[in-house]
Parts: sequence; C-alpha cells; structure tokens
Amino acid sequence: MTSVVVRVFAVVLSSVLLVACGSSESPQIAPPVAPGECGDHTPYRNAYFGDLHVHTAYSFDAYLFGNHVNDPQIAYDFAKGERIRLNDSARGERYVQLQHPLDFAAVTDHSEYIGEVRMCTDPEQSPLAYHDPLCLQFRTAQPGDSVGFLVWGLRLTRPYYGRHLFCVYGDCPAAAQSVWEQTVRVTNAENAPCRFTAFNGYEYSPSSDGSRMHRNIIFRGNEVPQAPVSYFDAPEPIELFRRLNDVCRPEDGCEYLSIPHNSNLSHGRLLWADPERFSDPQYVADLREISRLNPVLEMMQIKGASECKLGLGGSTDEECEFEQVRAKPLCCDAANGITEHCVDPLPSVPFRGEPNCHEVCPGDRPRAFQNEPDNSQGCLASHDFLRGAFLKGMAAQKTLGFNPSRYALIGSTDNHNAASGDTEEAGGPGAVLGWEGAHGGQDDDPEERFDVLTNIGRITNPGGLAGIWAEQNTRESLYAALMRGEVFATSGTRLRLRLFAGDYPSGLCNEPDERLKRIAYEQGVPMGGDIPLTAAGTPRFLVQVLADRHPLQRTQIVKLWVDAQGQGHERIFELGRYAEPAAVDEQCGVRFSVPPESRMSACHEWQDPDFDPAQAASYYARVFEDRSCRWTGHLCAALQRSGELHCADQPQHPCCTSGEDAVIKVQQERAWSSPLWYTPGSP
Amino acid sequence: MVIAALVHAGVAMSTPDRGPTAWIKLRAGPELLMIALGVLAFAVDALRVQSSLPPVPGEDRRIEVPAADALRQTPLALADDAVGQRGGETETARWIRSEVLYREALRLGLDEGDVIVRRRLVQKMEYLLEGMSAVPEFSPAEVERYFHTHAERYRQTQAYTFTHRFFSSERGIDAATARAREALSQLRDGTALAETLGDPYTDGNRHGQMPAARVLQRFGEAFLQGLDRAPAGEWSGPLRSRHGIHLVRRERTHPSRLPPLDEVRATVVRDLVDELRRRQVEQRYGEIEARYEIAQR
Repeated sequence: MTSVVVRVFAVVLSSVLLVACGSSESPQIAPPVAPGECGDHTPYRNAYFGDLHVHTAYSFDAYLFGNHVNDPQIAYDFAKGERIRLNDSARGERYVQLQHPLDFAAVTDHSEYIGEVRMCTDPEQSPLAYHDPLCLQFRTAQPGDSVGFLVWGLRLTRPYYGRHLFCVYGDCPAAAQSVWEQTVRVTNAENAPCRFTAFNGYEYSPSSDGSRMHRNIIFRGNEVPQAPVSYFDAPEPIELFRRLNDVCRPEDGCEYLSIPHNSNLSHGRLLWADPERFSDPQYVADLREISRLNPVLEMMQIKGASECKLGLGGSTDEECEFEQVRAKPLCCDAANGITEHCVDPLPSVPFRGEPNCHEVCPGDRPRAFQNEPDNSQGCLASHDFLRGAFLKGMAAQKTLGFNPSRYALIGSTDNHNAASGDTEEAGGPGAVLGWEGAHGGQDDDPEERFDVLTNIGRITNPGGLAGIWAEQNTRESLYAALMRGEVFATSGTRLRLRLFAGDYPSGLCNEPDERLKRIAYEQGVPMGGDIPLTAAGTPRFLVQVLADRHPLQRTQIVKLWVDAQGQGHERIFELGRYAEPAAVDEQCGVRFSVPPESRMSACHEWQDPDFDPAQAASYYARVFEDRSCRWTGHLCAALQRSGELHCADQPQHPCCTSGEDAVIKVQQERAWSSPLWYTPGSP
Repeated sequence: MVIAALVHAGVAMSTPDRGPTAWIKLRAGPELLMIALGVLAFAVDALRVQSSLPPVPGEDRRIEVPAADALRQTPLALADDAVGQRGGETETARWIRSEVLYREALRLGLDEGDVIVRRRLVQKMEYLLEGMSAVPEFSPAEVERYFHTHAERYRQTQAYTFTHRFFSSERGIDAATARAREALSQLRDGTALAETLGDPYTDGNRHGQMPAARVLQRFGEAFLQGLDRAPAGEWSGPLRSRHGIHLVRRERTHPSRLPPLDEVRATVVRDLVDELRRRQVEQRYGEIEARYEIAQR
C-alpha cells in the first residue's frame, strides 16, 4: 500500500510540475452527468466487487472465536481500505489491510443473540445478567472453546429451547433492538453513493439438528424493521418471510431480499422442495414466496463451494472438488447410483466425528428434521449443491409452472473478524471462524501453524467475493442487479465475467466495444435472465472475461437439463483453453506455459450444438485463472523460508508429504456466472 | 478464595517481563479496595472457564460430563478443541481429556506467570476500560476545530475523467501496439470514430472521477503515468495496462480538494468521538496507574 501511495504521489507531483512549467490546458467540459448519476454511470454496466456476508464482535460466535473488539464500524473501515487490528489473539497484535478497497459491503451479524451478547459484555445493561455464570463463561471463553459453542449454539438447533435464562433479568429483545439500531446507524453513515455502498443486513441462523439453514437478509435502503426477525421469532423460513413482510413493507419504503448460503452443510434441507407436497396449495404458495424473496445463492465462502460434488448426482466433473469442506469420500452406494468417483481425490481430513465416508441422503431427500441430532452424521443430497438444486428446480417447474430453485450466484467471505472481503491467499484465511493460526505468513506460532495445516483449518479457505454488474455504485443500482441476477461469484479473485445470450449476429467478438455491448443488451439478455426464442432458432452465447492478477487458463459453459424421463444431465463445454496449467514450485514460484500477457482478456461466442427448442435448460459460465498457491501453499512456503521447517528432517509434515496427510497447496482461482435459463414456450 | 485469587493476580502483575526491568508495588490506600474488587472480578472470570465448577481449582476433583447427545450437538461443529484428535476417540473422551488437562494445569498453577494468560488478562482489561467510558460529549465548535486541525485526512485525492479504447494482446503486445498506433492515426486524421475502433473490453470504457489510486489498481502504473500526461480532450497512447494496450482520451483531471465540513461532517464527528474516547481511556488508565508506585532501575 505504501508503494501505491508513493507512486500516486509521484504522478501527482509530476503533474504539478508540468503545470508549473507552463503547460496550460484548456478547461474541458465533461459530458453532462444527469442528476443522481455518478461519474462512471453507464447503461452497459460496470463490475463492482464486494462482500455481503461479514460478522463482527456483535455476533455471538465471532465473540467466542475471540473477536471482542472489531465492530461494524471497523468492518466498513476495512472494506474501504483501512488497516485494522485482528481480534485479541493470545499471540498478540496482528494487522490486516486490503490490497484494494471494496466497492460495497454488508455487515450481517447473527440476529440470534445480538442482544444477549451486549448484555454479557456491557455491565450497564443489566448487572444481574452481566454477572450470570453464562455471561461469565462467555466473556472468558478461549477462542474455539467448545463449551461456549455448546451453550450458545444449542439453542439454535431446536425452537423450543428459546432464549437464555438470563433474559429474565433484563430485556434481551430490547438490547437486540439497540444493537441493531447502532449497526443500522453506522451502515447508513458509511453508505456513500458513487463511492462505496453499505447495505443494511443481518443473518438469520437456524441450525436445526446441526443443519445450516442460514440466510442473509439484505435491505435495499435506509428503511429497516425496528429489530431483526430471528430464529427465536420465526423458527421456520416461511415464518421468517411472513414476519418480515409485516414489518418491512415496500409502501413504507422498506424492501429486502434473502441470500441462502452453505447449502453444502445443510444435509439436504436448505434448498429442498418436496415433490410429494406439490399438490398442497399452501406448500406451493409458500415455495413461490420463498423463491420470490430469495433471488441469489451465496455459493462460495469460507466454508467451501456449493457448486457440485464429484460422484453426487452422477457428476464426473473433477473441478467439483474445488474447496469442498465435506471432503471425505462418498460411500460407494450402488442403490443411489454411486459406483464411480466414490474415492475422493482429497486426502482424509480430521473433522470432528465425521463418518468414514459421506452418506447420500436416502432417496436424495433430507431426513426428517427430528430424531437426527448428530450434525456429523448429516447426509449429503444432490440439491445441497447448485447443480442438483437447479436440476430439481427445472423438474419441479414442469409441475409447478415456476422454478423454486432459480438462483443467481455470488460469493462472499463469512469473515468473523470484521475483515470484509479479506480473500488474500498469501495472508491465509483471515476469517475462518477466528482460527488465528490460519493467518499464514503473519502468524508467529509454529505450533499453531502446524495445527492449521493438520486440522479443520486446512479445508476452509479465505472466502469468495460478490461481483455485481450495475450502472453505478449506489444501493438502488446494486440492489436491482441482485434482483435481476446480473451478478457473479468468485473464489476471492476480482476476475470480471459477463455472460449474454440472444439473437446475435456472429462475429460480435471482433466488433468494437460499444457495438458489442449495445447489441448484447438490445438483442439478448445478460446472466440471470431468460433466454428469448430467436429467429434463427438457436441462441448465441457471448462470454467476456477480464483477468485479475493471474492470467486466464480456460473458459467453460456448464449446461444442465432434465430429460423427458425426469433424469437430470450436465454437460461441460470448453470455449477456450489459453494455456496448459502452469507449474508452481514449493516457494509459490510460477512457470507459465504461455506468456501471461496474451491471456489477460477473452471474448467467446458460442452456440449449443445440441440446442433443442423444446427442451428446457440452464447455462452458466465458469472461468479458471492459471494455477497459483492456495493459502496453505503460501503457509508451507513461509515455514520453509523461515527455516522453521526442513522437509528433509520432517518428511511426514503435511507440507512435505505427498501421502494421506498432505495438504492441497496449489489451486486455480475461478469465477462462476449466474445462469441463463431457457424455457420452451416462454416469450 | 478471595485471598488466593488476589495472590494469583498479584503474582501475575509483579512477574518481571523479559524487557527492561520494571516492577510495580501496590501503594496502600483507600483505593486498594476498588482495585482489589476489579482485579478480583477478573481473576474469578479467568478461573471460571469451561464449566460451572467451583472456582478454586485443584480441590474438587469431580468432573461432570455433559450428556453425549448434548456434546455432539454442537451446531457450529467447525469449532475444535485444543486437544488434538486421536484415532477412534469419541467426542466425550476428547472433552474429558481437555477438562482433565485444563484442571490439572490450574492445579499446578500453570496459569500463573504465563505470558499468554497475562496478555489475555491485560487485553480484557483494555477492553473493559473502553467499555467503561461513556459516549463523549462535544460541541459543534469542537467538530469544526477538529476538522481544521486534521484537514489533510479529509482531502480528496486527484481523480480523472477519461475514455479509453482497448486492444487485446491475445496475439502479443507488439501486434496490439501496432493496431493501437494505426487506430490513433485514424482518430487524428478524423477518418474513424473512436466508437468504431478497438476490441471489446469486459468492463467500462468511460470512467468519471476515478481516483488516481484506483486507476493505478485497475490499469497499472504505466497507464496512470500516461493518462496523467495525456493532453486533455485528445486521443493519445498507446498505453500498456495489465490487460493489454489502450488509447486514452483524458477529459479532465480533478485536482485534489479539501471538501467543506458539511460534506464530510459525519466522518469528522465519528473521528472526533473516537479521539475523545481514546482520551477517556488514557485518562482512566492514568488514574489506575497513579495508584501504583513505579520504580524503574
């Protein structure tokens, strides 16, 4: 950052000198900017990057992870590029700073317990509650203390547990309201139209029997409910939306959307639409309402990617194994069609109480919500991943007339240190649930580093980012893009990705930019939309990519469809392969097979060779950067550089071995577009 | 118990650090009670970790294990214990192991004089100090004064409004540069409109008031240098960025400016409150420190 400042200063200084030397310039009149329009406003839309999932010390788990200080203000300061101190680690002070600021962010603390956390940490709220043994335990818990999670987390697993007992000494809901007001005040003050967008939001966090059923609620503007609707108020999702619809009404200027996440840890429950209940009008009406209010899925974050899983739903796509938190092999299970790919390419990872291999949910349906108390025994369903969810949604559409699983895609972090969008691999996952040892090169404790590499920390990652195509950087413009689905997910990089389909002439990629974009929007639709029927009969797709730090390696389109027999299919088309993956050495040095400057941008036109106008289908683009070190690779390199680790002496160290315990050190960062949908007969 | 806790706390506080020798003696006085109570609260907090055990470690050797169901039900299962996992070990066994080792550590007094425990207690105290300070009061005049004394902090950096045309380096930098040069001569001759030249560029072609730091981030140093020197209102280049080759037309340079207070009042107020809060904390710390006699050798 220092060097950036110095360079900027040098440029500015040189310009001052030029002016001083008499190079006068005639005053230029910039094209008029309409009222309410920002300087970079364009109907062809710009890419903005941000994080819509950030926790602060107001979240009970963040506090238990050791973040006692970093509050929403600090989360926004960090997003805007300021250096912040990480939580009060036992290993002393550490600081983090984004290399480049974000364009937008939303602090989304858990609505559950925001009042209780305040009562436990502020003696003025209620001295009795403050000195309650639960609060004493809370304040003194060491990071990662499982008793704390047991006591606090347990109440999110069954609705009848209700609030903590100490809420009888003081008014927990009132405390929640005051913390919420404080967060909203800070968020509204930090929102700076055209420069930085701050969204009001919170996380609704039911964990029925350990299954993550979590959603982030994002509000469009300043108008928000008096208090967030939490799991304690509304244990079922449909209740959440009914309550929110009551307290957040468009006619009062209040609008919201909901973003589900970690379907990969939901045991078949988060994205489940039960075909056996499609004849129940109330159930279908609820599904429709949930679908309307949940336009976007957070499919990449600290706790893994939710794109697909090798072997599940018949997938043979090796890239599905990218950042899988539940990395154990699928059980070979002929009854469920799992006969191949049931050996996971990832080595086994110690994961508390995980079974030897993952079980597919019986009949690919979630188990009943009751009598399944064990999180670690939770099964995997194909719709825990977006491909399976999309396929089941398209199948349901044949009966329901709408797709209950139609989602646009974003990534975010789920950082619990208030370090919004801190996806830097070289620094290690800044967030992961306060695993401070995850701070790679910045950590000074060798034992902790080893622990991170051998333990749960290594299957988590620094998280993803949300990319939004919008006219300008304002709440209204970004929110509208989220609603229409012109958004994309990245694994943390700031790679820019566009996808269009329509009635396009061939050769668009050779056209000048304005013409390409005008035609792309006028004669077709961007990602998130419905592909129109074309005069030619076969729509043409357009993919545009701009690299971030690493050069591009290849671009694909993933097609999903359900055949007449109700069987789901996936097929992956390669649009461009710019180079064979680079070689990465132990010190994270990269040897490219093709010069990087020739593959920093790409444009592809494509037509589906199997396009059938009578067949519904969904298409999304996936772009890979060339290989680079994963955070674990940077950590291993740092350990060896500093002399703390000599592989000759410790051949069994996870950084050195190639056996069972080896860590994955190299990765390909990537981006996923939101899908385009084709439905026969739709206008 | 009270005495034991005080003794523990006293030992921790008077343990000499590795740095220059400095130690603190408690000065007798009426404030002693206040300090003792504060320290006691912390000592008790620090000792009451992990369970609802009697806070005197080492005497009660009974461990009550929560039901296995309850243990396994930790929903935020990504949490892990300090105890490393051994093959085939049950959750309950891990919990018991951690509890036994923890209690034994307390019994042996390993928390005393431990630099990590000490640091943590100090950090807790710092946090309490921050929490104890009330929201500071201030007048509009103070806001104004603060703004003027810290004016540079609110200065907006130099920014640019410009358009650019992109030439992809897919077939090499030299080929892209040659195409850009040809396009530039067409533009200068007036034989082609800018909108008809160049390759598609994924992101925007026109940028309004883009701060210099952001130009640097997006396009790189060579581009920023070139943009800054480009004649206003004319096409110039070629400039190289991370993505390829560009021609630019700088419409305007927006010089660095100091916005009026009203434009940035919310930020200024926030910074002022932070500052006042810091001062309160320092004052409070000063009061506590004054109760000690600090003898330096």
